[in-house]
Amino acid sequence: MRMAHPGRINAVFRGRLGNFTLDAELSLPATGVTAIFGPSGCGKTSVARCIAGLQRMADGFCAVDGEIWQDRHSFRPVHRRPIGYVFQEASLFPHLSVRGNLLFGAPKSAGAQIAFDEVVDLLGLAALLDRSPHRLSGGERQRVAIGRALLSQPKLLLMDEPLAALDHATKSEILPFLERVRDRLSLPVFYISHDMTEIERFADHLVLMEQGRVVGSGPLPSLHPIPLTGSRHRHGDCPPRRNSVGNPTRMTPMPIDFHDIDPNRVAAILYRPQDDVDGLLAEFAQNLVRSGERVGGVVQRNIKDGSGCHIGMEAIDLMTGAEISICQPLGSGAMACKLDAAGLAEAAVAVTRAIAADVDLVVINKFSKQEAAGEGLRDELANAIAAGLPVLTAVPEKCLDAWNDFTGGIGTSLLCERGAIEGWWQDLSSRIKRARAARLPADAPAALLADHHVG
Amino acid sequence: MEIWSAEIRQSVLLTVELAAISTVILLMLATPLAWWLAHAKGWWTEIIASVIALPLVLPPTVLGFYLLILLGPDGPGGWIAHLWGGRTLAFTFEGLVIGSVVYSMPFVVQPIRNAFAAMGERPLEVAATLRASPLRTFWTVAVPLARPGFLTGAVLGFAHTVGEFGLVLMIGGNIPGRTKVLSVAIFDYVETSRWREASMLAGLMVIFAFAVILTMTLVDRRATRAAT
Repeated sequence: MRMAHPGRINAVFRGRLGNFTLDAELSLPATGVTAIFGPSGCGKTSVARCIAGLQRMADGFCAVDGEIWQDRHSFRPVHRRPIGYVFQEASLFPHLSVRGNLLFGAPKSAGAQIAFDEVVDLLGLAALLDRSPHRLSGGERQRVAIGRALLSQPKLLLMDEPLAALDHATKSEILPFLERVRDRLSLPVFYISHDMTEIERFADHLVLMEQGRVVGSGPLPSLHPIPLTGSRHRHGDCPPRRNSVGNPTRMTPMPIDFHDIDPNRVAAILYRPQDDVDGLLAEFAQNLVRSGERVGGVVQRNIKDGSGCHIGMEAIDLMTGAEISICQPLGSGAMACKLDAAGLAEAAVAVTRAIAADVDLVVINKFSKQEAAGEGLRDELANAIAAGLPVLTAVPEKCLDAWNDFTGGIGTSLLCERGAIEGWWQDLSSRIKRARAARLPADAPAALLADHHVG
Repeated sequence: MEIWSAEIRQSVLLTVELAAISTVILLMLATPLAWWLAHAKGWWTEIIASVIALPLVLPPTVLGFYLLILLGPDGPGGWIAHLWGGRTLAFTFEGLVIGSVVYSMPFVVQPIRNAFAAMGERPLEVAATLRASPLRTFWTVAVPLARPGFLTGAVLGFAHTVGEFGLVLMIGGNIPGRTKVLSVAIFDYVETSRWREASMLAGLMVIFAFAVILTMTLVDRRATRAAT
């Protein structure tokens, strides 16, 4: 890891920052857009600042495209590193005009690779050049900041949540500019964000961070249709997992690929109440069914009226599409409800039907305390595992103990750690949507899932 | 006008000269000091800051007393004076400049330090990521952004030098054309019952003080407007 390679960015940063420990290792291609993604406070910004040299870790190493910027003996100061840095706030110099800001870091000599006129054109700045920064809108300011960074002729552009401080409309105003920058300038970009939709649109490569650590990195699928050959075979490449049976619970680091849905156990996504993973999982499973995947099981979901108010719940047998109608209101209001004994019996039938049909994936989108407390679908789950079918479900964090009791004999692999779930899930479901939009001949969930490959 | 006598003209000119030279020297010394104070993090920072701020609290006569000893023939000032054949820095214009610089230092350091601290690290970081060396960052980013602080510091430094009395009397005495500045001249006129001259100079000082305060307010208001 601590080596300088042409065409690659290798970095290691270890140490304490206040009450936070950074322990990040990166080895990435020095091309294209690399997104660093993770919940806030996970150390994304610290990594970018370390690469820029704005922060110095005693135990650090940084080499970009064959040049060592930091190692045990040397530390290249910020102003000698060929970087561009776009901060979350535009941070324009208030005493300079837009033109003055743009030219601040531009080399005096002619023949620069990224020309002034090109940047002005690319970012639509022509009308703003003689204005003072305080007379610009938030989006205009950020465009100037991006242009200013580009004109310093960087070999690496670091963007630290450049859209986070902007409202939704302004974000969508800037994203096309970012895409133009990416497409027209062949410049490696580090793009830090906690917004998966931005990353989806913009990045080629994804680094996931959590609690100061890099927990995964790998290429993101391009916007072109996913090649069907080459996706499937990975499933076969997957080495058999050790300790697959025996230990009842195992945590899988993020991101997850399809191999992590271990057919020897029930794969459960842990989620917090606000994450609505069960809803996403229901949508995901139904989309897969609609696109012809062999997916079975039961999903429960909230029914909303036209204005988005919850008006009740429904449960659906994924294979037949039939509604499992017996749904009983629980306690206060009709919002929360559960399958009663008859509903559970119907659900059990649905799962059994799926096992009999030898589907590729069994989805039960929700496993809350009520289901876990009774006998629920335990036998059916055990049957599915015994038949070698992968089972995917979601369990609220607060029900983890009950869940572990419930599945004690079957075994669970917990797929997600707190905080990382949202992005992963958005990523998956948006990729499914995109695949559908591209009218991709549906192959298997494996094709979609396996492409989220862990590097 | 007979009242605008050579004597008065001389002390007005001397005062302006003293204040101008002191202000230039103050800015040269206070700027790096303020930069250091705004960015250093050690416990000793506040100790140095307190030492610089001492003249705010000390009676000018106390300050003048120590300076007199330092500048006198037996102190370091005496040795410096030997360099150009003098005997002492006390009761000289050079001595007055040194005294004024020490006395007015906190009034110049404080606003500049505040201005440097108020801009935060971000503009400096931005400049560094744009390949600006620390020196270039200082001159092209920090100083322009701290301009209101510099203006306030310069005006306050100038005004305090014009207004000082106790210290001047202690280390400068009352030598016409060399150390007899306005405030001392007023004292002198009152002592010799020349009320007309005294009241004229006093009035002049009131107008000057008013102009200083007005300027400061306007500078302040402009700075806040620029910041929003």
